[in-house]
Amino acid sequence: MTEPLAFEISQDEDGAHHAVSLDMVVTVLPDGKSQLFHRNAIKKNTATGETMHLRALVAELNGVRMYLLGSHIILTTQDMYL
Amino acid sequence: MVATVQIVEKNGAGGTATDKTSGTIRFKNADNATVDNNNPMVIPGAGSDFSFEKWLRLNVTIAPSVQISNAKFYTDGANGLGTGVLLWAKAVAAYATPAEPANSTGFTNGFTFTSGAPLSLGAGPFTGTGEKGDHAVCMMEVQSTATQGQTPSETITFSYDEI
Repeated sequence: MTEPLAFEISQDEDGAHHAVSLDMVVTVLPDGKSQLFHRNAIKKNTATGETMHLRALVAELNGVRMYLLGSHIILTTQDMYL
Repeated sequence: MVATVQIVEKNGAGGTATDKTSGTIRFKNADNATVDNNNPMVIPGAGSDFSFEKWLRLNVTIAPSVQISNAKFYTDGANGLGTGVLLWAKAVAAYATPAEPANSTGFTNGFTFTSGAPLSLGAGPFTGTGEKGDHAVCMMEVQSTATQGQTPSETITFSYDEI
């Protein structure tokens, strides 16, 4: 099972969220309803046992979400599962 | 710190947990996590053969920095197990010794749980280590129209959010 890159997530006193990885920083300013979290998926082949672990960084501001999965960025209002 | 999360299969009256994160889950006519050819499911002349239930659950071995939440279970939505082979699923909070149901009452077709409409295993939030969320209880049904041999592979997905 390969471990995807993870961000360190923190929140400032003013409500700003930050996600920091080795080569990227994502910040969500507190301009409304906002959140920042990882969405994980463990995909398991029940017959072979092969397992794949996917992890996206999800940044949300006022109902619009950014899903960052590897180098793929998706902007949407959907609650997407991997 | 990023959490480490396993998928465990639980068996027996005590709910002995076996890490199946990277292991095969074998549906059979016995309550154990062993991957062997004992107690195989059989193709009935008429009607259906139901497997023992598989009680699967998320197990956190390294705690998240803050919490885990929004646990889900889903499939790709397409039954790739072959003609006459069905997968049933439901969410159950409290563990009970896996049974061999006589029918699918109380279960839902597992392939109706997709990334667009997943089965909820609990909103949380969950902190610390240990088993978290509801159990995903799965059961396989083999009908008389099935063909012999092991079924083609299928993928199930457990999802959770983490901060």
